[in-house]
Amino acid sequence: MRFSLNFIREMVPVSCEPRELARKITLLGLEVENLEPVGDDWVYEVEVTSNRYDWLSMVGLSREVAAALGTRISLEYPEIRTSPSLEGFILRIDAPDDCPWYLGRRITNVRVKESSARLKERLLHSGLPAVNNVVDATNYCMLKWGTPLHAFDADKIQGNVTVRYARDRESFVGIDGKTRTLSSQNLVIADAERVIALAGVMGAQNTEVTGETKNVFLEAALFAPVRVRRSRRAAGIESESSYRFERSVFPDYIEYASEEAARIIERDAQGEFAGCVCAGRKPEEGKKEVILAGEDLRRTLGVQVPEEEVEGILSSLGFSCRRNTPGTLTVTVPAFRLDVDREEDLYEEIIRVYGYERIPATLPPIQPGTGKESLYSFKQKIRVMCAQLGFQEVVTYSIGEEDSLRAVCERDPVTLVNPLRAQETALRTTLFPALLQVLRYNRNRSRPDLSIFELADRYGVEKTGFSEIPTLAFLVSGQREEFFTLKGALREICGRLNIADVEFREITRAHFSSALELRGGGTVLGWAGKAGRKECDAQGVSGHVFYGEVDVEALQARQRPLRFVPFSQYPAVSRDVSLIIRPPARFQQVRVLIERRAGSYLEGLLVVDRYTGKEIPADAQAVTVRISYQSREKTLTSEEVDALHTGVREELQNQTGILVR
Amino acid sequence: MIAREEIAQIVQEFETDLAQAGSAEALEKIRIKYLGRKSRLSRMFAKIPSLPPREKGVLGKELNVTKQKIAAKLEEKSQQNAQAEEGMDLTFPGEKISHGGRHLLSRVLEDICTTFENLGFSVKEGAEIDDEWHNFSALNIPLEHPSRDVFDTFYLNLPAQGKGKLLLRSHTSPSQIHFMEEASPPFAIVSPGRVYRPDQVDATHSFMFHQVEGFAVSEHIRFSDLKGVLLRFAKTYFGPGVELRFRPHFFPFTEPSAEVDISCFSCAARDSDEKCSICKGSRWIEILGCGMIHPHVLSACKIDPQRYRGFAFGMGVERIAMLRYRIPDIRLFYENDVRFLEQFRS
Ligand SMILES: [Zn+2]
Repeated sequence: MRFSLNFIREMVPVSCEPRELARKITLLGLEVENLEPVGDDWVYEVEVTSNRYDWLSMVGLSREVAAALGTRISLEYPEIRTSPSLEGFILRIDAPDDCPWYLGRRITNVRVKESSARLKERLLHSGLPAVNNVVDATNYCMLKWGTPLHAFDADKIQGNVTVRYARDRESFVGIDGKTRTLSSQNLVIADAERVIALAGVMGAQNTEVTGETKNVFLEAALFAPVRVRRSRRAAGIESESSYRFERSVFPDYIEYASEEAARIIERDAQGEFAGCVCAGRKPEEGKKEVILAGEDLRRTLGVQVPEEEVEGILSSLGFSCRRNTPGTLTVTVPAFRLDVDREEDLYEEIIRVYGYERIPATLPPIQPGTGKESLYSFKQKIRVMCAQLGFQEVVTYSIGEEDSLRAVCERDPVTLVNPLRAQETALRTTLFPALLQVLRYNRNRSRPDLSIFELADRYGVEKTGFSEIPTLAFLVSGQREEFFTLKGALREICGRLNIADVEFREITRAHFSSALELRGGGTVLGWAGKAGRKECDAQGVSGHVFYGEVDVEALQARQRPLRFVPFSQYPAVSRDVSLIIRPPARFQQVRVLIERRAGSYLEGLLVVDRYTGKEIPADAQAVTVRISYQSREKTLTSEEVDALHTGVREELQNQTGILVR
Repeated sequence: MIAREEIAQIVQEFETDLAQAGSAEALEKIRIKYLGRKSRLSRMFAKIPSLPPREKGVLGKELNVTKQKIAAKLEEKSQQNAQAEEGMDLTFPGEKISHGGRHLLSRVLEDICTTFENLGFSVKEGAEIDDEWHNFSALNIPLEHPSRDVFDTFYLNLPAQGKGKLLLRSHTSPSQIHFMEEASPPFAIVSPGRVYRPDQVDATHSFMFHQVEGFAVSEHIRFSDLKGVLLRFAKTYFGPGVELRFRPHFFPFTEPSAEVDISCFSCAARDSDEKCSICKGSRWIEILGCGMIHPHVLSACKIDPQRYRGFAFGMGVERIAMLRYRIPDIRLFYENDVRFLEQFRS
């Protein structure tokens, strides 16, 4: 909202410097976002919060300025003329809930021309265009009183005027020249033939005041905020008028605005007042009284504001106070403060004038929490762990493109009703496309190798509705062997969380050329695999890409407290065995055999060399496994180790697909 | 050959060999060659008894001096070698140690939450898919009211449930409702997380961003406690020198409400008349919104507003990170350029 200081000065003497005034009203809650001198005037750009409809009028702003300066406004109320009645003209309201009151005035024989320099300046400095002396008069009064008005060319109105809902597919051409198709959502002003205004939003072109206009019909009415909001949304228009109606207008000012606008038109366009017409009536506003208890005020704010000061502040804002039982005041809310209903609203009025800076800073006595690990702290722990394991955290958008999600995940995504851009249409079912995008982004900037993770939710459509699952996702790219970095990281995380019975199982997974399932504590925790060529090509990513997802809540549920595990006091002895493994044999078989044969003497096993190439069959792998033997009871002799190792070798030799070298 | 010439020749050969000797073994070989029992000097010593008495003394003395000189030089060289082996050229560059790290937003979020945890708050996250009742109505935001306009929202193609249409939460305040529906006062909670609004993406707007919501409810909570908590947060997070300014504002879910500014740390650091780019010359930077929880909100969660009072506050994590680390564009957080990520590893 923009306002001109000269306009304000018509109602309140401003003694202080414009910048100082900006600071003062900002601290009252009317935040000045910009201040500029224009000629001999100053233009203030202020943020009007949605509760303060009254700050959308110069009268309301002047009251605030007066309160900031400790003075009062002087407002002249025009004398309202209620006669003569317009003869032979019928005004009917068919929608009394959404238009309780409508007031029309007729001004004849006007001479439409440019407005006076003063009037034009008032409009321009408040951000409204100057049109002609009739339209400008209505806009001036809207700015001043906050109540939108509309002027029709009376001669273009055919027959009687009705306020009604639009008929389905009824057409409306606004003064902006655009055609809109209406529905029963829209409240309209219509004559015998057609729509002549979208009520509270915009007038129609067919009855617009032009240079040729001789007679004017001036509308002032009360339209319901919700109706105007629905109507303007359905029609896709927003106007100065709808903006005000949506936030409420003060009924008392409708008459003043109408009367003042008529008088300006009579003066500036040499028109003659021909009479008025009225339908419905002004809603009765009950007197609003709020009981204010000083003790409650102190309990809420944490500061004791003396009763005299409370009374002073409230009366400067137009409230009147009556002392009640000791310690309480009966506060009468001025009729124009539609936003004040209850004690808490008064607390705000008091404190914004008293000054937030005068409230002391205290610390509340807070009961400490239960100490149970929250999902939040578990997530933080996992983040630190992943970073320590060499992965870089990324943060990507939770909303992705539906088709590219479907291209890599079978699950149905939750789609957006109102997407902002074509590339964000659905909540992601997997973090894979987003992490792949990070890889592509960095590869294009000469960073080919990445080890990244993200901890965020994935979502999906379920029979019961939807799911939202905290997910730890990894992406590793570069060498073929890097899958084992990822696999090692997963094992390490499970190890640090002391999850029982951690194992990997080979699974088939759509869109991945090979994949493992991570199990632990008797349940599936996640999976990891090598992304399919087609899926990577579709994203323009070459080379090997490894990706995995872990269910964070499953990890948290399966973690166990760490406990010391005793280790052997005796030395471990290692022996190597070199093998060639050829499908369908898998390394997993080798591991199982060694574990079975060496039993409790197995301290650990390590793949020290892995080779594929010329000297062995194309689908085979040559590996060297280093086996560590150890006893808990004694130092193993060289002969005992040899015997164990020979047993292992023989067992391996007997397997199809495994050749011991 | 005259004995003196022979000695000179031996010394010369010794110097040549010594210069080439790099290792301790090589030195040992030289020692044996020139001072050993089979060395030429030893053989010359052996001839002394057969010489005339006058020459005996002179040659003997000369041989002894030569022997000592060689021994001394060997010792010196051996010490030099030992030193060369232990010492290193430390001026080569350090290796690039590339480990992982957390994203800056994780760290900022944690730093903010930790500050409040240290004041006794607990951290509790909320879900991102929510309904109209929790996102709006329970927070005293009527569905068809202009106060909703600042909370533009993504709606989801999911069947509406008892609590209205499903949506992506447009702020973290619904966490307040979810928590208060379940818990009974007193409590003090911070709730961080992702929020979504259909805002056109530019240097300061993103359709996804992070907020931290905080709230405390008890029989004795006052606005002054809110001030104290936020002042402690600001001084811990931005530095002990910062001051706070509370400006009256309007939020549907708090009454009274305020926006909070911190004193511009950039202006404080330099004393120049040039317009500061961070606070645009106003000396204050808006960082959060807050207020006393509206009685309607407490009632919606079945908490008696006569008996209990509460405060609530909410802040944008990206905005705070951008201020603190002087990050010029919000998109940097989501592009995940490694060159950006690596600057803030932790
Ligand atoms: Zn500054």
